[in-house]
Amino acid sequence: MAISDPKRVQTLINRAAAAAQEMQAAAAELIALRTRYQNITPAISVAGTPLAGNLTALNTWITDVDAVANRAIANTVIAAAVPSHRGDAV
Amino acid sequence: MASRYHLDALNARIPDGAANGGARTKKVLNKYYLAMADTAVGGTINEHAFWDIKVPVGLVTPLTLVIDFLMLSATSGNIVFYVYVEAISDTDPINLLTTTSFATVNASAATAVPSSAGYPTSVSVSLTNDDAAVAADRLRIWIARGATDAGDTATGDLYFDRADLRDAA
Repeated sequence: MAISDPKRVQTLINRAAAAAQEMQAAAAELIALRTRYQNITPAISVAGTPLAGNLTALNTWITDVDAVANRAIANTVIAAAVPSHRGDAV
Repeated sequence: MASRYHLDALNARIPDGAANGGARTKKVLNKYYLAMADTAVGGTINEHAFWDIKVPVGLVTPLTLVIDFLMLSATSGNIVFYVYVEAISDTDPINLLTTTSFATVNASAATAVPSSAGYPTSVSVSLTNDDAAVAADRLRIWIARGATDAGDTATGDLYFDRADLRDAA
């Protein structure tokens, strides 16, 4: 018994696609949360909280997460996923 | 070559439980198919179904099975069918409640899938290993997708439509 290479590749694609979709959903949630936070008036003070001095870093991290989650390769594997592939060929 | 029996998706005997590799019945546009996955259950059990018939009087071997199928989403690659035959005569010393005696597998050639999903095609399988079937035998035909075959490269479900059992008469 020897599973063909295209099926092994499809398993990688399907699993990567599933992870990519979760990452994109998480990134979208973070972006929406950041937007709501930034739109609150008057501006929120982070003094004395764990985010004191870290707000810029967190903002950058959210931007980075969104960029990574939505890289072209992520959308490529999502588009190439085959739902009926069982996904256990690796 | 004469058509001897029609194997339809709805008159199949399907093993109980997904763990046993039973093909999955699908109803699409009021038509029934048996879905067979591109990988085996647990890596070893290719999804399959059985048909249980009486060998028609006048049967002349060799037998051929012509299987109609389509692909759910694949537009490239090949598929392979595995077909097993079990023929039981009245005088055979076999306990049918505890034993099966299928002959060696008959594998189809690796067959290219249609270039469009859902398009019909067919493959002919020579049943060289027919378990010495003769008229009046109890004949079981086991059809599986050869998901574990290196030649089966198409991804996603195969939809078995129907099959025609033909003999040499």
